[in-house]
Amino acid sequence: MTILRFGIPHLSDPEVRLVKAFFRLYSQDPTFRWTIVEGPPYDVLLVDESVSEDVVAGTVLTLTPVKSELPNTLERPLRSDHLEAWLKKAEYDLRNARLQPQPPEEQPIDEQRIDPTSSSHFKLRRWPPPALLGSNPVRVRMATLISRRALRLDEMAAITEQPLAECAAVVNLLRGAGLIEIQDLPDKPMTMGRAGGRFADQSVKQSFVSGVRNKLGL
Amino acid sequence: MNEYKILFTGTMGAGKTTAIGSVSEAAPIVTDVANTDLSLGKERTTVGLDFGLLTLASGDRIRLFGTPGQQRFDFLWKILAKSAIGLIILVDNSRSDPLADLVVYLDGFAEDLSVLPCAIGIGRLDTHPVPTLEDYIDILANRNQLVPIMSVDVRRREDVVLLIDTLLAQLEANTFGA
Ligand SMILES: Nc1nc2c(ncn2[C@@H]2O[C@H](COP(=O)(O)OP(=O)(O)O)[C@@H](O)[C@H]2O)c(=O)[nH]1
Ligand SMILES: [Mg+2]
Repeated sequence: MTILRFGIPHLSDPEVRLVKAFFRLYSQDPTFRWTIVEGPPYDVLLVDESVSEDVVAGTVLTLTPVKSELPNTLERPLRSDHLEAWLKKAEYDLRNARLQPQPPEEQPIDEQRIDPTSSSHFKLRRWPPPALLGSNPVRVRMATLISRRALRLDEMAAITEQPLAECAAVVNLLRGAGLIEIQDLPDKPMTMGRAGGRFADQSVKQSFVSGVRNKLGL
Repeated sequence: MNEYKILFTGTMGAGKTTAIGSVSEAAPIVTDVANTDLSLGKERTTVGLDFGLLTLASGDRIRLFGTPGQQRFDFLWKILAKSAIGLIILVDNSRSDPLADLVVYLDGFAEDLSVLPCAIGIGRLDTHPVPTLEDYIDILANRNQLVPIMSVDVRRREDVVLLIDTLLAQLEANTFGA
């Protein structure tokens, strides 16, 4: 079982003695895993709020003169039960963090792929070179849609009747070529825009579009 | 029953009559006459509007209009464009300055293009590879215009169908989204 390293090098002697006394008490519990260590690295460093930020530790726990709503603070005078509760919670958080697969290194935003569940709106910046779309009519249709208007993947999927994954693939392809602008517009349900000028209303327009496609064999 | 218009425009010989003929259910009504300008190397030229027809199952009709073969932009076309559901610009890449040809139409229809669905087809890129499609895309980008543009041979029905489908997708984009 890994030990968890607790540091108190910045505290005054009376507080060091107090914390050490608490720890002797806590260590009666066989599941208690914290140990006071003399030097870094520290999983947690307990400091006075006057201590500057440039201390290095997994988490900095700050002692404050009055009760604070900020996370990772404990009020003075330090109480055994408060510190114990805080350490249990910190242990739990640390264990969870260690069980999680390490998140991949932070990549520059342009390298990140758009996930099919993304709720961003995508807008084409420039018409893509022919090699990107090929003569694939579905891709041409998707590029055309977002050349006109910023759309979410689910909107693209609904209009083109293609799977979300295919829409995401096309957006990623275009994005890889630097042709996509991401717009994080307020997330609202798919809405009907204004009717196009030549059509009485949206449903007339929709049935017209599908009528033409039928006629052309699309 | 409603009637809609799609307008085909472009320089003489760009393929307007051919494109309309590729998709029209009836042979296009062609108003060509013998061309007396021998420098144009084309025996016939369109003097009036060509038109073809698509009748939908609903009974709705689409008239496919081809603008007459003139060298200059005609403001009558803008009036036609006002009532059209889409505009297809055809460019003949074998001409001496086809980029400038496109610009004539982009300028002429500039006000309409912000709302009017539009698609651009470049013909004869196989035999005349320069300027490239990328050169055309640059021109559009420099003008801050984003219009679908593709290589076409309008003698092939599927190429004309793709141009029309691109107009339809623009109508759909105006229906949905933020
Ligand atoms: N190679 C090639 N020839 C074409 C293409 N489009 C039209 N043509 C030919 O060019 C000629 C003029 O076409 P036309 O449709 O009358 O042009 P319009 O003046 O724009 O109506 C015809 O002989 C067509 O067969 C094309 O994309 N590629
Ligand atoms: Mg003609």
